[in-house]
Amino acid sequence: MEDIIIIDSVTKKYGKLIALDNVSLRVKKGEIMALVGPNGAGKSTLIKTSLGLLKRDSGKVLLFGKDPFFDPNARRSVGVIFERPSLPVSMPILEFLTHVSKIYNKDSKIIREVIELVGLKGKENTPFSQLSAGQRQRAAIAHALISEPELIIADEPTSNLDPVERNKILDLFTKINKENQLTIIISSHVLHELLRVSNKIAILKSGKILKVGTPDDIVKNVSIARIRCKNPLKIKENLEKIGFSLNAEGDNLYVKTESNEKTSLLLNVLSQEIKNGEQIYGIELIEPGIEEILEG
Amino acid sequence: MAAKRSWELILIDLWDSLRPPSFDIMLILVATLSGILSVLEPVTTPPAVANAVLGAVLFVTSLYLALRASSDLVNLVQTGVMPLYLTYPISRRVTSLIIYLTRVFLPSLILLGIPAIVSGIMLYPVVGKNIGEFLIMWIAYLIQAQLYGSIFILASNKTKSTGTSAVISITGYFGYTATSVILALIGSIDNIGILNKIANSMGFYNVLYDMLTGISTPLWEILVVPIIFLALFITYIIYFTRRFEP
Repeated sequence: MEDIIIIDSVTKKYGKLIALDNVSLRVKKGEIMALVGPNGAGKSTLIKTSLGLLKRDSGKVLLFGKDPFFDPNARRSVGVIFERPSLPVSMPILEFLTHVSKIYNKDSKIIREVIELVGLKGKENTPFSQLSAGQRQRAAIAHALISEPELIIADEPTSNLDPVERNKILDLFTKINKENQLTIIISSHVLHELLRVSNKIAILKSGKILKVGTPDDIVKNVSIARIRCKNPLKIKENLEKIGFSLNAEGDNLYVKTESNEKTSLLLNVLSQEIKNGEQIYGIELIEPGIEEILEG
Repeated sequence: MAAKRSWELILIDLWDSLRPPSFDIMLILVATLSGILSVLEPVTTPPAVANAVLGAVLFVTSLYLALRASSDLVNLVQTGVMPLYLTYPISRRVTSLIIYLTRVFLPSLILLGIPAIVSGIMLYPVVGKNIGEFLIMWIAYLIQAQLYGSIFILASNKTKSTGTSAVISITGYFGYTATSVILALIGSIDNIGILNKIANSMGFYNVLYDMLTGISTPLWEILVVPIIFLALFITYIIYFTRRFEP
């Protein structure tokens, strides 16, 4: 498949701080690439460097075969969504998108299509400042789609949203990817929400890419069991005796398992604890967070 | 195609900054009124008409530019709208130029242009004697406004607060005009000719008025404002082309 973005040995420094340290990454057509990392990992810097908005200190960036820092036309087929959705505040969405469609030399019928796609029908004439947080993010997505892009870059698009809206926005990205065959780069510090939408994940930390692979490659069999029980200290002691590593937070125990066998063993031990009269209120297997992946 | 893209970005930035338009309409009315009131001035030459009308309007224009070019620009950067503009397939240099046009050049063109047109009509018997001289004076005021606008737009880079940016700009404007007045005062009291000349050269319209009324004017006096303006404008374009890397 064709490479949409080629990032080759890119280093970016802010004074003495190395924000990107010899980063290389390729994004192929049709992929949903997730950039995952803790705050300060370099996700936003990588996105801005890929778009040519930041000057790199060394390395090469090609966006659709052009260097976007020197050739703004490289961004012609790119829609961008920033963490904090920011459109001109006083302008009604429809009017703003009309101007933007002319910047990209697109037919005006695209405006109605994207407004409908993102679920903002009926809000066309509302100024951006009067929209809710979720609607603002939808408006930003509509703005990104106006250019009929081949690539969408979204920098933490769900960070300011409640869980319901987060899921809706992620579903929207999946829909756009499937229906329009768009390539999507999406960043977040929350791994589990990107696991369900992406087909490739790059893990960043301290300006370096630590891992790149499919969600299965990244997560492997790591899972976390959250156990809510009456006597966490006693269960913790018993589990530690047979080699589990775990943390206690209030009434909750978090146990990391790295294989199906370990998970099975854990459930058997807990079953035995219940038989012995221990009160366990709930057991939940959850996907690992970025910390567990980095530790693993 | 690049011109069409730039034009649409100009429209976006203009229409967004003009909402709500009440403050802008009020200023345009004030500018129009000052043009109408020019009939009350006892003026007999076109340059004198320009000085009588545009002197007061330049003050209003400068304060307006302090808000539009400085305070509003900080807001544009801080709210993330500027980074959004920069994702369009338009170069950073052209975007910088567009911001200058919408935030400095066009507002000053309109605010100084309307009273010039109104006073030109109202006092046509005087202005009609030599429209060229009247136009030259108008351009002098426009260049003076660009000088202030360039200072303001550069000042916006130094702060992340819209209020601070406006205060720095307005203080800068008053500082510049006060310096000119103080130099003229000292020059007059102590009869130091060079101070008078420096004070005079700080207002491009003063220098051109002298030239048009036959007072001998050294070349350096003519060049002070245009050269400072050009230097600041070039600095702005170079600096903001870099600054607009969010």
